[in-house]
Amino acid sequence: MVVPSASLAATNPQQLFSTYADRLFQIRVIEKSSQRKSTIGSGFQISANGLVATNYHVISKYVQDPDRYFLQAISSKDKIESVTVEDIDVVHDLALVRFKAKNRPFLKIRDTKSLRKGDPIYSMGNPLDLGTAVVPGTYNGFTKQSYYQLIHFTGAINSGMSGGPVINNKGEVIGVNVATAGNQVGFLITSDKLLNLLNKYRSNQNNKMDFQKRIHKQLVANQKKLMGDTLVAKWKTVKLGDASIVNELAPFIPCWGDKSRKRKTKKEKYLVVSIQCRQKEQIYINSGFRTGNIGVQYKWIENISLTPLQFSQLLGNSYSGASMPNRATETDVTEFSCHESFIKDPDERAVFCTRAYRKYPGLYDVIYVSTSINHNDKGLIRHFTLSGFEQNTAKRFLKRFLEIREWN
Amino acid sequence: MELIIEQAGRGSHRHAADMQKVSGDKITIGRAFDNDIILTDPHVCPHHAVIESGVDGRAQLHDLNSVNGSYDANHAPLYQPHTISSGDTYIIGRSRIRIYFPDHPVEESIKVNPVEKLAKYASIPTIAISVLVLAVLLNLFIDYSSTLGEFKFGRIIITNIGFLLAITLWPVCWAMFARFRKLEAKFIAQFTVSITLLIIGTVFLSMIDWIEFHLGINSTGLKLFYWLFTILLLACLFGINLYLAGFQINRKHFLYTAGLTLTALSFNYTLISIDSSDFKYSPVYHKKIYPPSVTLYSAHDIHSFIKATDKTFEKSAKLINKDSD
Repeated sequence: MVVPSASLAATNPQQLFSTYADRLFQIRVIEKSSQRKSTIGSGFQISANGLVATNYHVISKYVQDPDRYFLQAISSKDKIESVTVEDIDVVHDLALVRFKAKNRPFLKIRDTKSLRKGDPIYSMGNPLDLGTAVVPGTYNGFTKQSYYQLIHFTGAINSGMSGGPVINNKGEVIGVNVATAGNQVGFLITSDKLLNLLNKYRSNQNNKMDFQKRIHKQLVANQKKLMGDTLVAKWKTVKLGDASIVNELAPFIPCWGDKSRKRKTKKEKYLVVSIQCRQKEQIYINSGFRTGNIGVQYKWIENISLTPLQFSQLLGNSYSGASMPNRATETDVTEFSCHESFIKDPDERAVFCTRAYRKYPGLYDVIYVSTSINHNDKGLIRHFTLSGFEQNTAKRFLKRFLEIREWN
Repeated sequence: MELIIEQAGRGSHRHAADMQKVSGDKITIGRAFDNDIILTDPHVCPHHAVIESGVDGRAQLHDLNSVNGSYDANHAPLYQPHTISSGDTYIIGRSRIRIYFPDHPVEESIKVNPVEKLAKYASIPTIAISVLVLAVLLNLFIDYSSTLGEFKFGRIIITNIGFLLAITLWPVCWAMFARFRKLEAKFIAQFTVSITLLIIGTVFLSMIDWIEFHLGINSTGLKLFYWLFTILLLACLFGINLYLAGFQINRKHFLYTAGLTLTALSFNYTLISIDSSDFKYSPVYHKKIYPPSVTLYSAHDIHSFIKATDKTFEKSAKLINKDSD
């Protein structure tokens, strides 16, 4: 092992850049037949023998379709290295790739414990394919109401910088660029997640598991944990009209409410109050496929002057619109299969639909929607979606959801 | 000699008014007004042909050296007097005549069938107007039930006028078709029948929907019922339309009706199968809800509902292998 040459503190971006630029790479996914780059991102060396960290989503095309693509890493001196994928963490959007090297300088990884809100940190990468850049910014703690806990970074992260390191002023990696919400709000994967992946990788180097199988295993483990954390939490309930409904399932599934506006000039014929709880994050599988998400929605409708037939039409409009929030294509999922029925106490028309994941058998997207059917003056629509869950896990959620006596 | 001369005109359709009974030893045909049979065709000579008894007492047609000649049914020119058989067709100039003897057999009289009775009722203007009012009311009711916001009368009136014009087009086409065949248009009867069947169809479709709400969208029995009723309804519509447009109920009528019904069905089926061949990203289930007063159901407790979901997981898992082939 070679001790990184620049262990002395560099306090301004210029110094940081000149010291560490040689550890940065642009990661390219090249389409074989056209020999053109299909995706670009950034990466950084984390071991002397050529191990490079990047985002899973940067190399996802190659992982999903290795016969059509190959990977390259371009060093800051424009040297092209061909790379292989060593390990991935699809849940936290991380990947380790390797090129052949010996005794090359690399970046040290540091945990995030020492950081405080307001600390200056430096994001590096290759924004919009314009060349290597350093972006000074501020550490702003972890994202709230989040399951996968990202670092909230104030500073401009642009596409192409994905997978690039974020370092402190000692040149230690404390995060990995992953996403932006625009307006100087960026998100970083914490270095702890990268350390976890690195440790796992080093402890079973000979594990030659196929990448699809690895993704499958990670998704299964994650949904189990996610559902466990959701079900262990005490669901907070609240009154919505005559019904008591879930107001918060878990801190990482925040809720939003809305109520139809009362207009003074026109007579309203009905009133709608809705509550929607949705996890903000989804797991990236490929450009057309996301998963790993829980969402719940309630609508309370009060009839003011609609006829019974009109009111049932109104309930039908809400009942009929159920769809999944996650993107998926024909190659990723099957069509839905549904079970339609009537449930009693309170009486509801309910439908439960599932679609299976083609490449990850045993995982499903699930939709449930129901509407009350025994009142002309009031109604409740209940709806949830689960993406990427196992049959048993989904059924546990369904049971918990249905057991809330929402009608008094 | 007594003969019946039919001026066939163009086309093959008979017109009762064009049948003439003439008698005499000598029956003259031509454009001049002193003829027994007067043809207005300018290709016919003033004294074009004559029918006389031959040596054997049978009627014969002589061409009188006309400019354009006389021909038999096969367009062969008549150079010599031609012995007439009952029902023979001749071409005089460019006009067609057919000659019958008084003992020529006629087709058996057609009994007034139930459709005829129906057609009689359908031609009564009061009934036609009642049906029309019913259709408009039904349309208004459907409009009103699905309008959840403000009910705008101006818009309703205009869409209803549009609706009326649209549904009138169908009987207008059939009436025009009948006129084209130089038959009675029978517009009112066509109108009444078409609108009545439209109303029956609309009511039937909402009934199917209502049953589907209770049985679920995958009921095969209901699908079968839907197709059977659709076939019956279309066959009724085309059958009556054709009858009113002058097709007597016989083999030909049956074949036309079957042909039109099949065409309409295949259009319907093609549309449905084009839609269903697309990959569906959203679930397909029965989406309409009915008021409590018309909802009949036996509700399950949540445990049996949860248990029943196993089947949907099973079905989805099976689709993985089925679709990827």
